Amino acid sequence: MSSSVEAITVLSSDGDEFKITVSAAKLSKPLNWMLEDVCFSDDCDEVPTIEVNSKTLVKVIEYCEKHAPRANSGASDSDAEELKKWDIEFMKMDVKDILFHILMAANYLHMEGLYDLACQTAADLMKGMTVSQIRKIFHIKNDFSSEEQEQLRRQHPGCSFD
Amino acid sequence: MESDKPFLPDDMILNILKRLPVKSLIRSQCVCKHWKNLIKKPSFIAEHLHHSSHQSPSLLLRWPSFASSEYRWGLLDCDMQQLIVQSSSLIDSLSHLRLCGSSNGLLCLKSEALKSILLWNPATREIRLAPITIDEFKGGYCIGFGFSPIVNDYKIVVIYVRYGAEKRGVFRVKVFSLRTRLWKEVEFGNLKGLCVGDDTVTVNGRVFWFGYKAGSHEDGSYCQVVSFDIANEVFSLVPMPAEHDSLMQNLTVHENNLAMLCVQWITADIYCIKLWVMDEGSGTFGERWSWTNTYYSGHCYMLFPLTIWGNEIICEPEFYDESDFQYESQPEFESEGEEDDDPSKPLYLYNLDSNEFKTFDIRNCGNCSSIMIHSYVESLVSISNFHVENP
Repeated sequence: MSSSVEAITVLSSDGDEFKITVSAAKLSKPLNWMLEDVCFSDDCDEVPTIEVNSKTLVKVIEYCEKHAPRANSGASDSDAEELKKWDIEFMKMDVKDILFHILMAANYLHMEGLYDLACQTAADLMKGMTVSQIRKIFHIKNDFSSEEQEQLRRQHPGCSFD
Repeated sequence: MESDKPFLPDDMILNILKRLPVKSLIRSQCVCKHWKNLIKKPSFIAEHLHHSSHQSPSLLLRWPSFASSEYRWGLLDCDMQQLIVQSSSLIDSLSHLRLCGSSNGLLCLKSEALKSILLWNPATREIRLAPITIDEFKGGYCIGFGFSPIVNDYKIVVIYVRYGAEKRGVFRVKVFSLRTRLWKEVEFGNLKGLCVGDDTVTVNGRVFWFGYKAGSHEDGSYCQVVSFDIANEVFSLVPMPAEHDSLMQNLTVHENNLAMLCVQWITADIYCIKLWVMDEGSGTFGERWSWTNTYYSGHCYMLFPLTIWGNEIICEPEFYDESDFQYESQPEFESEGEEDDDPSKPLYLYNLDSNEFKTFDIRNCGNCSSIMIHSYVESLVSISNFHVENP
């Protein structure tokens, strides 16, 4: 395969094929390494697998494609402002559904911008939640005894538990 | 593990948690034992503080409650969301509390009633009384409070000043370390003959006050800035900015540097506000200090700049009668329909980027003329780790 390729094909952990442009793949070091492997190896038949499920990978690639022009060439302040608004819209997703998967994927793919964005989105979601709602979205079991629970309620009278 | 329920490792949980306000973190402590331990770790408290101090600061407000002699405390975030701070019964019972310094979310308050010093974290509602006795407060004194990352310690500085006819000026300095829990006498040779103003600012491990020659305070002429290095416990004197001819000045913090807000007379009843920012030199000994004039407001009628909040200067008008108070550019100030019996004077914001004035509408704070305003970053920092007495 020659180095003039514009897009590469990758496999999700579910085995679905996805196309990602070369400039978008540059947002992630691991993706970039895969890209170099594909471009410079003689073994062109092999399609690299990314350990991210299809639902998440669609979103990650969407993010990469949107951010690639700015990341590769730099952009004006108005572009940055526009991108910020786009990020907010992009992150309007069901947390139970995909946000934590995005977080894991951003970490795995070394994508600092997306990782920060996902952490901030999770934090913003948590701000208005009660203790039991937080447990629910993070799949955490309450391991306090009823006595300890009572004590916590006494210590933090203004705190909303349920 | 189910595929739709990813397990987040601790570093991810911590990265999310550090972005939360203290109120949400207190709630998050109640989620499970593991989270409680994560949030209580000193490394997390430091990480959270570091993150918060790089965000837009909040404003800590205190205003007198009309219903009682008590004060109400509030926090205003950068989105103008106001939060009532639940103060403790001890704080409420003390009517003459004076804020004399704040560092890393901790407030240092001087109580005339208790003749003592209180340390308070309004976000965690933790409060402690510093061990100091009434007798030590004979004569005048001013207080400073701050943190030094070099020694990882908070210190309270008490400067005793004599105002009588003779031997005026600083005559004793004591420093209390929260870490060692000990009071210590400190050298103050270069402060002899100087008086020190009440207003104080803490930044970059140093506490600052205005210093003036004993007896000269009446004409408002501060002559220098007194600086106290918290780690080395050494005082130095910083000259005022060159071409300094301001009518009044206030110490504040701008972009993590010491700054000075000045009012300069232009002509007739026209004034302008200047902002000087300190470029710090090499250190405690032989440092070179230089002031840079960063901003210069448009001409305005007399305003007192109080403090900087983000990229805005909060100003208080001099005049009580609003009909006397107009700007050259005549911005339209909306007036609230409600008639108030109090001679309430609005505060103004001067934006450093747009060079524009606008009214600063803080709701539910009663009469703005007696409001206390302080730029503030809330934290989980605990006073009890430093073994100060519980009242």
